[in-house]
Amino acid sequence: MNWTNVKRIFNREIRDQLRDRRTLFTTLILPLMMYPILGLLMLQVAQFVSETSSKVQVIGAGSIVELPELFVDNKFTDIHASAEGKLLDLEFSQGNQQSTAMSVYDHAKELVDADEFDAVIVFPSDLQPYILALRNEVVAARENGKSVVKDVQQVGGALKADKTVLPQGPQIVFNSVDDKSKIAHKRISSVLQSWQASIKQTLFQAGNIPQKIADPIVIVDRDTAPVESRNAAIWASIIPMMLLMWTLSGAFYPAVDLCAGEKERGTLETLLCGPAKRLEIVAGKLLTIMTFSFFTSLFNLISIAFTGVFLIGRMMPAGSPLQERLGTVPGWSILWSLVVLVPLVAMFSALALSAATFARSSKEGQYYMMPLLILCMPLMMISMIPSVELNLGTSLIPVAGAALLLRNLIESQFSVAIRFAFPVVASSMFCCYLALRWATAQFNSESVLFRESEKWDVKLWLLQLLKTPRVAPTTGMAICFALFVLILRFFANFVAPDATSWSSFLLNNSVALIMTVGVPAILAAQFLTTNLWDTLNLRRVSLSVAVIALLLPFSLQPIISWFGVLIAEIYPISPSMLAGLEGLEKMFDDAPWWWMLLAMAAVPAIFEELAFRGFMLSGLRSETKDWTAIFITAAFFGITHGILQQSLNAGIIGVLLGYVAVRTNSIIPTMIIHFLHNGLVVVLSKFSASQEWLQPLQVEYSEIGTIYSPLVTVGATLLTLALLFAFHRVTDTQPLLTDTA
Amino acid sequence: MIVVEKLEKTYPDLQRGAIRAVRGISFVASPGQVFGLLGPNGAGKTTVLRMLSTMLKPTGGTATVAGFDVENEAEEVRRQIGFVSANTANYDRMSAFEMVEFFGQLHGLSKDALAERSEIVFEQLQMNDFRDTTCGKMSTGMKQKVSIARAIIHDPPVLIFDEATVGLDVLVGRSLQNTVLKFRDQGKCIIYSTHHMNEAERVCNHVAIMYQGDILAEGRQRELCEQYGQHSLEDLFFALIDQHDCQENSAGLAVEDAISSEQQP
Repeated sequence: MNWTNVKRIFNREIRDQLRDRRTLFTTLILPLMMYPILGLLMLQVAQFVSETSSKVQVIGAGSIVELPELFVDNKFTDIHASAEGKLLDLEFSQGNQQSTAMSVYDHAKELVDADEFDAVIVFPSDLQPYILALRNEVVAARENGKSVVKDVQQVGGALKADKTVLPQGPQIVFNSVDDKSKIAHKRISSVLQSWQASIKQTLFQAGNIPQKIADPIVIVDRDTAPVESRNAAIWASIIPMMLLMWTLSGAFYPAVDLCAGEKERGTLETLLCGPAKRLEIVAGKLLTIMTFSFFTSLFNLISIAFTGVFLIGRMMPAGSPLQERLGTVPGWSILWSLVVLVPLVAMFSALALSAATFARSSKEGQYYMMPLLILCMPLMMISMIPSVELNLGTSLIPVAGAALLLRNLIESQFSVAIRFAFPVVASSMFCCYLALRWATAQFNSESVLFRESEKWDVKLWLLQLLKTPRVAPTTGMAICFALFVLILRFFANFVAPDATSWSSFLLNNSVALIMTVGVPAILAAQFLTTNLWDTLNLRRVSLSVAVIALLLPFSLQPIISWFGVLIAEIYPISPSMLAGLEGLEKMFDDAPWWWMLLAMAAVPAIFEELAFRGFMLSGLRSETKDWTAIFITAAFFGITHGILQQSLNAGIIGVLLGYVAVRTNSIIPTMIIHFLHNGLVVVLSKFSASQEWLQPLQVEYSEIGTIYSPLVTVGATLLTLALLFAFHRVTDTQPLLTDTA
Repeated sequence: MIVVEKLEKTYPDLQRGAIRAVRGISFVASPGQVFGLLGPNGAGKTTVLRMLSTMLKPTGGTATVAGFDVENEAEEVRRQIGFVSANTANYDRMSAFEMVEFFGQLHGLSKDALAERSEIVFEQLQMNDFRDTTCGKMSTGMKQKVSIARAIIHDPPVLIFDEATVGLDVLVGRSLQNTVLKFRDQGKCIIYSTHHMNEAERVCNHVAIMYQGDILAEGRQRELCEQYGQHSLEDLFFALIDQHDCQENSAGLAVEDAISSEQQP
């Protein structure tokens, strides 16, 4: 690659984009203006909400006149009402003295439900006599020199027909689903709590008991989080998502203009017939998109920091109620986030470049932006879930890891951030590499670059597929097939009845697997290709290959067990899932071993191999390199397993199975390996407790119980390597029969 | 200079299945020659020229440009050619000079060489009046001149014009033809595709008539007309196409006859 050419293309594209006012506005100017406006709006809205008074009816206020003063001039007294408590419009009603407590409550409920009042306070008529009686008891106890006052129960009980029930305190009737009612409740509570404290105080004074006795223990919270982290909490969860969205859109707008736009304007062909290589063009364009995406993020950050420091910082100074509510907007410290943004910018840019190259026109390019954003959205939103933390597992998830790292950086938790910065960057760079490969492939694809703007007709396409079967399926067919299987599996899980016994569980699972994975593969091979057997890779293999396939699962067993442990360490299985699995295991106690072997080893081995190493691998190999085909097949094989931990394990085994299938052009050995691998797991889980001969091979390992000893595992690894070496020697990469071959 | 042998291009199409856009054509074009590729729309001219300029890969046969193979030495081939087509537009937000300069730089011209060459090209194509105008604001004629300037800035030995006069008015079209003739006199090898016979008659000294992916006839204009007993290139063109269609029809009928005779006892 000639970097001078890349630089020339980059310079040209940058100059071109800077001359385009629309791109400039959406990627650079809009973010600068947006946050100050957003900040001002938020302040306005927050003030508007907080300054609206709550409308409250007070029933029975006349029955508490002898208790510490709560109302003055139809309002709460200043001693009890804080700034918030003053925002209450009170309306007094005496209520019917004869009415029962229940009917008063019903009346209050009606008022709140009809939205006549945000909340209703009810003072029961026996509250005052009860408190006064208590005070008399306290005074009498003091004067008589008694050490213990009469039981509170007795005092209260004397006032009631049912002597076991204490008189109720004031009731706040409100509706927690209605926000206005909730706010009113909060305001009233704070006032009444203060009033409650003063009643307590009068009782203690009457008994001449020091106030401290009432609260002898004061619980002290000591939050270790730095002040800036605590204050930034709300912002730290929102800002990463906003930043990531802007990074993606900052990449997308220029990408659409640089690729789809150029196609539309006819300038791409001009560039393609020039001396620059395709890779140089891709690199030049990618760097341009990255620059724009990066500066969009940078401008966003600067704008957020500016808004935080100058605007919001000034308008809601420390200690103000608004500041308490919203926290401090992080200041210049968030500029640290730029470090994380660089790999993310690269990844999003490469993704945007690929999608935009695929599009025929700018309009079509814009259509791809939304799905891409929606796909990334759940990952970006992870930073908003408080219980999800940055650890090795989450840091490896693309986008989500970066969002969490950003959150930590904004919260100034640098020690955690630094620990996981490398995995986040590594995972982002890996995704960037994949996206870049895709983008380059797009630029090398004639059908993509010179796609005519003809309307794509599903009917024509299907007719052509069925009318003209091919020797081997295409890559597109393979990917569509895999997606189709995924959707079928999803619905199968959705409609599957809850298993009540082992037999129904195994039967349901087997039927579902055959119908959603096996049958589609056979049908696709039958109708879309000329030779069912060749497409599904059903070919005989040599005896030596069969022998190696028979031995491999045994030597692999310890390695895969340890791999499972490693996965569980990184991505621990959730307690609810563990409970579910235990339930299943218990259910299988009664299941005969041969039934389990049939349903959990034989059926998956036959039908999953037909689908993945059969149809899908054939399709992918027809247009991509063997290893690309192996990895994509393994990825889909993993994803169909549903649970993350299982998916990772299946993905790794999928790579091995793919390799075996490519070397032999047959799924017979992979079916053997698949069957024995699953079968071993079944047999060992069923019998390992009663098999004493296994014990010397195993060691105790934390909570999971026993696992293969390191010595056995090392031995098994060596044996596996030897078997793979032997396999490699006795096989050769088989060319695939295709239409062009 | 350009040697094409049994060149083929097949691509999939939704409606018609696999399409053989170019069906094993062969020809040779030499320096100092304007080789006309004539044919109606859809004859496969653009596909051939896109393969020669390495934008598409042939699915069969070979082609070399200035001794370089279009499939395996694509970058070298692109250095030897200047490609002007109705599909190769200019960057709207760049001025004529910037556009030409950018492609000159990509071709690796040094600063001095580029400055010198730019002067010559802008003078030759009479572009100095609008050298700083952005392409988006230019007339069609000006744009076409910028395209040519962009294609010849590195002084390539081979020039390819693919329907370059489409959409140009008579005056600009004539001026482009004159430019092509000047390049021919400079000893460049030129491939000129068009479906206007009078244009080909004036510019090309060697023609190949393409129809449905095949070359129906190829040779010097006068010799071809004499060979087929036609007065003009246009007459020759229609005669060849009629002849081809008749042959296709009779071949189709013959196949039908063969099938029906087989079915009869």
